[in-house]
This record gives sequence, C-alpha cells and structure tokens, in this order.
Amino acid sequence: MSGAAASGIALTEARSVDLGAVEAELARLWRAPAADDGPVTTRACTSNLIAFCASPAEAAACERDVPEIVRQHPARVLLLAADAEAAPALEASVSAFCYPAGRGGRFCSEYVVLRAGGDAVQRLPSAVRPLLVGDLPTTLWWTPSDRSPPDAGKLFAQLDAMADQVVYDSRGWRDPVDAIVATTRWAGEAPPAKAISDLAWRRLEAWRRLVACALDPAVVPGALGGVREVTVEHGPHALPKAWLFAAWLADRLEWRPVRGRLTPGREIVWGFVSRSGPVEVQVRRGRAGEPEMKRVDIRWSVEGAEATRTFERLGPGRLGVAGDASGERPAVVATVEGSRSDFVARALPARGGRSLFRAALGAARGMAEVLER
Amino acid sequence: MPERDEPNPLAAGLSQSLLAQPCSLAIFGGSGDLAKRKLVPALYNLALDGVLPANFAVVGIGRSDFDDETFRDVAREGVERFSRRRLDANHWPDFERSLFYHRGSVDDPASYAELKARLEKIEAACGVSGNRVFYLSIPPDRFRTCAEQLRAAGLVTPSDGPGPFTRIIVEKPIGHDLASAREVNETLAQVFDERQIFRIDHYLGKETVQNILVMRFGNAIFEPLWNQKYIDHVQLTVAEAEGVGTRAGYYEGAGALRDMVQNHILQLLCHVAMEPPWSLDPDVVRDHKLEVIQCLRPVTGDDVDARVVRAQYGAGFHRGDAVPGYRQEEGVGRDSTTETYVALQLFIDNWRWAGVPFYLRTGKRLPKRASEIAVHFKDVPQILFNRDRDAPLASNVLALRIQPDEGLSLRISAKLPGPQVQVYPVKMDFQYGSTFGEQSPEAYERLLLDVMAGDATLFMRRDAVEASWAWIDPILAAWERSGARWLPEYDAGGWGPVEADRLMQSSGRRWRTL
Repeated sequence: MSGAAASGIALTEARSVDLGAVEAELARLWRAPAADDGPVTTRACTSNLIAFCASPAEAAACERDVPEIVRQHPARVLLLAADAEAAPALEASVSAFCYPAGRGGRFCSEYVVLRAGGDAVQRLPSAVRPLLVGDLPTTLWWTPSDRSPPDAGKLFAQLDAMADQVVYDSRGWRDPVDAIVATTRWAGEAPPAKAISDLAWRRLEAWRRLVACALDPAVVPGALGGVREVTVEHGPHALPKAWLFAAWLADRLEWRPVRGRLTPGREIVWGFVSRSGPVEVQVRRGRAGEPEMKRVDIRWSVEGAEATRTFERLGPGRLGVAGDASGERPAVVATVEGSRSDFVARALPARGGRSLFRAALGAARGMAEVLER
Repeated sequence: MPERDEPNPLAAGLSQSLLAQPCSLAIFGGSGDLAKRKLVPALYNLALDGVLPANFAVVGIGRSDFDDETFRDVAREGVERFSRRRLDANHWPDFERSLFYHRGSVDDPASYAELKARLEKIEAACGVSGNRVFYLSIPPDRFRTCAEQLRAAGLVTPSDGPGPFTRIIVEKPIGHDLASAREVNETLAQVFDERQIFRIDHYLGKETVQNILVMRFGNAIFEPLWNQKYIDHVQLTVAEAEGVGTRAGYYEGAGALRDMVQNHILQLLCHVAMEPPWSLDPDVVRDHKLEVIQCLRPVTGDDVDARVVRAQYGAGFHRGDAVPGYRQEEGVGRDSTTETYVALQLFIDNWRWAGVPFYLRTGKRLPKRASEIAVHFKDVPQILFNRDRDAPLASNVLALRIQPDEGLSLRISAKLPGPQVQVYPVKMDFQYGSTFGEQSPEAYERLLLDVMAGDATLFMRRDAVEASWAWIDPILAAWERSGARWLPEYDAGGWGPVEADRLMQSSGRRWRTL
C-alpha cells in the first residue's frame, strides 16, 4: 500500500504499463496471492467512470475525489489527465482503491490513469474505448467547469458517445448565457436514454424540496398559482445555479418568458406570463461570498391577499424558511451539501429525474433567448 | 377558491416520490424505549437527509417527570447510542428545537385537553398548520382509551374534510386472535377512518423487503419462472439468536406464531407470492397482497399436527456460552407451553402456486440472526449431466437475504475445469453493502416519512390483518384443544427440533443451512 488516500481507503502501488498491457496488469492485480494473514479482497465494479480532466490541477483535484466516489459507488475508474502544454505522449498507470469491508475483508475498485500531453490528448478516446468493462453502465464525468462540455468539440463528442450518462458542473461557467444555449442544444440532440447530470442541479435539490414543501397547496392553497415575484440572490459563480432554479420554477409552474434584461455582473430580470398574470424574476449577484444561492424571496397573491416566503442559506448544510406571519419562528432544515465527490457518487446510480432536468434546461434556454444584452 | 388537495407541480422528481407535509408528531409512550432507540434516531436521520418538513415538531407524551430539556437530553442520548449516523453537532441544535415533551397519562381525560392546548402553542411557533400524527407506542389495551380521548378532546379531524389531517400509527400486535383484532380495529374505526390508520410492521420498511417487488417486477428473467411450473418449493426463515430476554411478560401470551408468523412472515410471503399489481397505488398493492392471504389453504383439524411444528428451546450453548432453556428464563412459567419455534408447511391455492409447498420457520435461540427467502427451482431432467441418480445435481436456488448481509444469491451448476465433465454448484452473489456502499436507512425512517407523506403502501390494512388472523386462528384453536403440557424441545443454539426436519424430509426436501 502506498498510503491512505482517504479515510479508510488505500491506494495500491501504481504500476506504469504500456497502453496495450493495461487489462493484463489489472488481471495480474486480482491474481496476486494475498498474504496468509492478509484480508480477503473482492473486486467491486458496478459501472465504468471516465473522468476527464483538462489540466494537471484538475487531475490532482479529481484524484482526491475518486476514493470517496468509489467507496460510495464501486466502479472501474479511467482518469484522463490531459495537459495540452506537455510533450505529446500517452502513458498509463494501473492501481486499485481498496476499502474495508465487513469480517476483515476489503473491496477494491480498479483505477487506471491515462496521462496525455499535447496532440496526444485527442487520442484519449481511442485509449479509453477498449478499457471499458462491457455490459456495465458508463458515466463520463467532465470536470472542466469554466466552459460547457460541448465547447470542447470533437474530444467531448467522442467521449460522450461512449457514455450512458454525462456528469458536469455548471458552477463556474464564465459565460453562462452562451454555455446554457450550447448545453441545451447538445442535450436536446442527445438520445432520450442518455442521462445528463449537472452537479449544480443536484445541489439545488434541497432548495427545490424546501420550496416545494413550504408552498405545497396543502400548506398555502393557491400560492403556486399566484406567484407574482421571485428574487434570487447568489454569490459569485453561482449564476448558472440560480438560473436553473428560476428555470425550474418557470417550467413547473408553466410560466412563459417574454422579456429579459441582463446587467453584466449585477443582475438579470425576466418577465414571464403565467396563467394568472405577469411574474417578475430577478436574479442578483452578491459581490462576495461562496458560489451558492443565498436567498430566495417568493411573493404571491391569492384572492387579493399577498404573502411572502423567504428561503435563506444560513450556513453550510442549513437552509431556513420564514413566512411573514407574526409569532412564527423561522424553520431550519438540514441540507445534504456534501463535497463534489459526494454529488458525483450520488449521480452515478441515478436513473430518474432526467425529463425534469431536461425540461428545466429547456426553460433555461427559453430564458436565454429573450435576453437583451 | 384554491384547494388544499391540488397537485404540487414542484414536487415532481424529488428524491422521495411524496413530500412529507408539515406536521407535528405526538408520540404516546414518548419517554419509552421505542422512542429513544428507534423513533427519535429515525427522525434525526430524516432531518440529516433534509427530507423532514421544515415546519415540524415532535411531542413526546408520557408519565415520566420530564420537561422539554430532559426529553431533549434523552433524545440526544438515544441518537448517540442508536442512530445509524453519528450526532452532528452542527445540526443537532436545529433538530433539538423541534422536540417537546408533554407530561400526561393515557387514562386521564384532562391531560388530552392540556395536550391540545400545548400542541396548538407549539404548532403556532413552528408554523405547523394543524396536521397531526399520533404514534401509539403504548400497550394495545390502551388503544381504545387513547383513541376515544383524542376524539373527545377535539384532536381528530375528519379524513375527508378540507382541513388539516390527523393520522394515527399503531404498533403490532393488533390483537391476539381474530376476535380481539376485530375489536382493536373496530375501536380505532370508531374514531378514525381507515385512511387515517397506519398499522406499522417495521419488517415492511426494510430495504430488502421492498426489493423483493423490484426484483420480481423490475427484471424480465424471474417473473416467467415464478410459478408452479418451475418452482419446487419456497423456504422462508426468520431466525433469531436471542432468547426471550426481557420480553417474557409479552411473549408468554404470544409465542412465535402470533409474534412472527401472523404479521412479519405472512407479509413476506405476500411479497413473494402476490400477483403483479397493476399500479403502485397503496390500495392496489395491498389488494394484491390480501389475495395471497385469502388463497392460503386453511390448516385445520388433523392438518395442524401434520403441517405445523411447534417447539421450545431447551438449555444449550450460544456461541460457546451456556444459556438457559425457555422455561428457566426469568418471567416464564415452569410449565409454559408457549412455543418459541414454529415451522409450517402451507399451500397457496391459486393458479400460480397450485401444489407448491411453502415452508416457513421462525424461532428464538437459533444459531444466528438471519432472515431469508429461498426459492428452490425444480430439478433438470435426469438425463445428460443429471443422469447419475445417486448424485443428482443441486437444484437452482434463488436466495433473498433480508438480514444480515442483505442481498441475493443464485445457485447454479457449472463445469469444473478439466478434461472430465464434472458439474459443481457455484453461487452468484449480490450484496447490497458492497454494491451500493452506503448504509441503508432504518425501516422506521422510511415508514415515518411515508406516514407524513400519506403513503400507506407499506402499512397493514384492516382486512389483511383480520384475514391473517382468520388463517392463524384454527391453528391456535387446535393447539388449545390439544391440551399439551409440554412441547418438543430443541437445544438452544441449534436449528430447531427434529420434528421440523421431518416436516421437510417426508417430501424428500430439507431445510437450508443458513
């Protein structure tokens, strides 16, 4: 063992091998006899995970995440460490992440790192294809987060073609408007069976749940149909998340965007038409803070009476909701924030919710199309 | 006028199919063991998962001289000792704020009026609009008083009205025979509509029990084989390693048949044997489960001796330690004839299962804690690889492990490597733990969430409870008539009495070793 890579998880010694010898080296890994007093080792693999990293820094971050991901969802991991600035070469190394199982045994997940420099980056898809374990789902985790995946052109398209699911993170997109348009176009052309997971969307689940609960017709009858105004405040780099949130509301509540005004770096204001009248949505950027949604105010009107609910991020893992009724104390709920690795691990087995996300993406695109810039 | 029962378009796609609605959960027996060991830790884990409603309150009700702070301390201790996840100091204060205690007696009408006033105050502070769940973690003989007093105090809302909901959760046992079960159900029905009553059987909340339906109806390969054409027999085992422990007071009046078979095991049987429901609507699923119980061939008269074995554990050894026999346990009568083990052969008289025996067994002080459903397929013809009549091939067995090591395995025949054709049974194994990594939620987590969301799929309906008792009653009656003064004994730490082995051997079968 080369040492613990994460709590309770250890990485076996990595061996550099020729590309053509990767499978043989993996097989050797499982044939190697255990020491007499060593733990019983079980190879665990429920899917293929291709993790694409566009720089050494991204690859290093990804390597830190992989142990926790495979602990939660055992997979053959193919980490693609690209470095366009490096000399053109393609190298492979093989190892395994092992973690304790019951009764003194351990489970191990195969870990293959393919490092590509210069022009060799474009050859990565051909190196990956023969290394996929047949008959298992394949997920492409696209880790570059400054641009949308389709921006990477042919390289992304080739890796995408191998995958049943693509996981990416829109948090950090430099040009959210163009990225949303490009992503929506790609998602629209993807086969219906392909799962698409934006980690920003997954991070929104706690907000969505809280809003859905607090505005449930059983709690405040008529609120959802009578929404007049929504204000979303977010920190730097969280515009795509706030946009998706607004798009989700628009899609689910059947609002049609009719106009939008972008003030770069400050806010976007959209006008929608709902069945019961106009709705205004303001998405405002805070000057500092974490890349998260900070606060959402939803104001509605039912039979002439107005009311507001305020949803607020109170700190890591805590969301609060308060109404405007006097005497009611703000309620606080725990949220599963987790790390990036947690969200990727949870995305891997997910099969449902695709149509909802795609519909929200479609609404996000509609909102992009009405923007005056 | 906006309606409370309009669909919520924002609920689509969230990780639970239904949203738990803002409510208060009032636990009668709130200072008791179940609340501390199971209910509060389950609620805490739901809170950590972010699936509890934001506006939520728990009110423990009991005779113990607690106040809110004491109740919170006890709750904290319960979470620290029994929660599947550790107490998180960041989140505990938020959770703790929703815990309250009301001192009162189930038998005292005045304490219900006080409870109502207290609930209203708590609900106003917590933003709960009057939705209430009452959990009766109290002896069944107190159900009537509690239900009637709840109604008298104005704490029960009608099920079909436009206002907030009232739901009630009751723990097993629901009666000790058909007549008493009817009485309990009738008592509850006087106050609550059936849609408001959630009869909890924690077995049904286990992930692996829910997985039985997924495995059967989510895969194409099993269902075509799931009938009398291909299945030889089915074995259901629920084995407990523990003895009667501190439950002798209850167990002496119950026994294994009432304690395990009437509820848990018959419900497991329903999952294995039911026809495909045409939807996952709670009543559709429960209708199909009920049909299985209605198709059970009655075991009456002489059949009871031929098809049912009961026994008591004698002294023996458990994991190397000497343990007493049942009659020597504290609180057990020296002449007790309460069965600690029961094995049954039963038949389901419908088209799918005609002639397929189902063998059920459960007992205390067996070698280990293990629950399993094993589906034994019919043998291949005695030709080709199975022509040696002295060494027939092992039949295929699909084993669904409920606990521990949740998962499933399939025994198949494979060729041993080498020039000769030698066939050997091998096991393909799927383990939840190694495949999905994360710990499964506790059964109570799922079940409490379902009550708050109004989903009754995993709860026993009145007709199913009474149908189960109707099938069990003749066995109990035959035992009563027999006037037996002693029961067959099995050694503590063994797999049960020889009579249970004979039940299988008479048809050339044998119990699986777990």
